[in-house]
Amino acid sequence: MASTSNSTSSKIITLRSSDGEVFEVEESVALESNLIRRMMEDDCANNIIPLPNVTAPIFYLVIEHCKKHAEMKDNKEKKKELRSQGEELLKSDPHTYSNLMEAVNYLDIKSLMDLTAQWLADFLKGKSPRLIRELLKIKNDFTPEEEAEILERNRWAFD
Amino acid sequence: MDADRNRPSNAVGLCLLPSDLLQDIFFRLALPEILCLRSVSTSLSSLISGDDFRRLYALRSCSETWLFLYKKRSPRESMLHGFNDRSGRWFHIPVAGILLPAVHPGEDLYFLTASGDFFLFASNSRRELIAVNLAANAVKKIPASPLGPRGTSSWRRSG
Repeated sequence: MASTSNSTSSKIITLRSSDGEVFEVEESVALESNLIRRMMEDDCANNIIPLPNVTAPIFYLVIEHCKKHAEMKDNKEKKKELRSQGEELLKSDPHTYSNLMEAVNYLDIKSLMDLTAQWLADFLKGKSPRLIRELLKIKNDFTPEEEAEILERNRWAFD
Repeated sequence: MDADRNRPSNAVGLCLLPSDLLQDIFFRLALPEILCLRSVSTSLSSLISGDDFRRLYALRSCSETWLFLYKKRSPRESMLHGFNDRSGRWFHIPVAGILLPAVHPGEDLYFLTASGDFFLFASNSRRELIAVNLAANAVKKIPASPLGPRGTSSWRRSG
C-alpha cells in the first residue's frame, strides 16, 4: 500500500527453475503468480525462490505470457496477438502447451489459467474425435470393437 | 467399462493434464461437444463418464441456455435440434433412434422439456411420458401419467 506503483523501477525477484536456471523477474510480473506471492509473504522475499515443478523453457514461456497479458489489458491488438500465439503453440506443440497449462496452474496465475483453458476449449469445439486426436497427438487406444460401439452411441452431427 | 484394462498409455500432452484442469476446460463446452470427446481416448472417456465430472457438469450447466426445435415428419424421421448459447451453434440431437423402440407405430410424440442428459417426450395418444437419456443411450417409459388428451393439460418448465 505504501509504495506507489511504478512498473519501470519495480523490485526484481529472483527465481530458480527445477533445472537450476535463475531468472530475474520484475516484482509486478512475479506477483501475478499467487504461489510466488504467498512465498514472498512468508519469508523468502530476499532469497532465491525455488520452483521445483517448473523447467526453465516452460517458465520462460509463462513469463512471456504474463508480460503480454499485462500489456494486453486495454489493447485489442495485443489480445489477438497473444491468442493467436497460444493457438499456434497448441497446434504445433500440444505437449509444451500442456506443460504451460500445468505450470500456470502450479504457479496459480489466475488470468493465464483462464486464458489457456479457454483457448483449448475453443480449439476443441466442433472438431471430430479423429481430428482432435490428430491435432493434439493423442493416441487412439480404443479397441476396434469399443470404437465402433462409441461411434454408434455418439452420433452427434454438428449442423 | 472393464476395470482391468491397463494398457500402457502413449498419450501425450492433453491426456496427461491433471483431471481438475481437464475438467475446467471441459466445463466450457456444451454437452454434445463433451460427449464427442468421449470418443477421443479411453482416459478422456473415463474422466467424462465419471460420476464426479457428471455431477459437477450438471451443476454448472444450469446457467446454460438451450433452444430446442422438434421437427416431426414420421416418428422414424423426427429430428430434434438444439441451439446452445455457450457454443453459439445448432446441434442435431439424435434422439430419434433411441426413441424408436419405445414408440408404437402411428403414435404422436410431443417434445416437452430437457434437463441435463434427459429429454422428455409426451405421447399424446397413449398418455405416456417417454424419457430419453442421451448419455446412457436409454429410453424409459413413465407410465400412467396424469396427462390428459391434448388441450386438457398444460405443461410448464420449472426453473
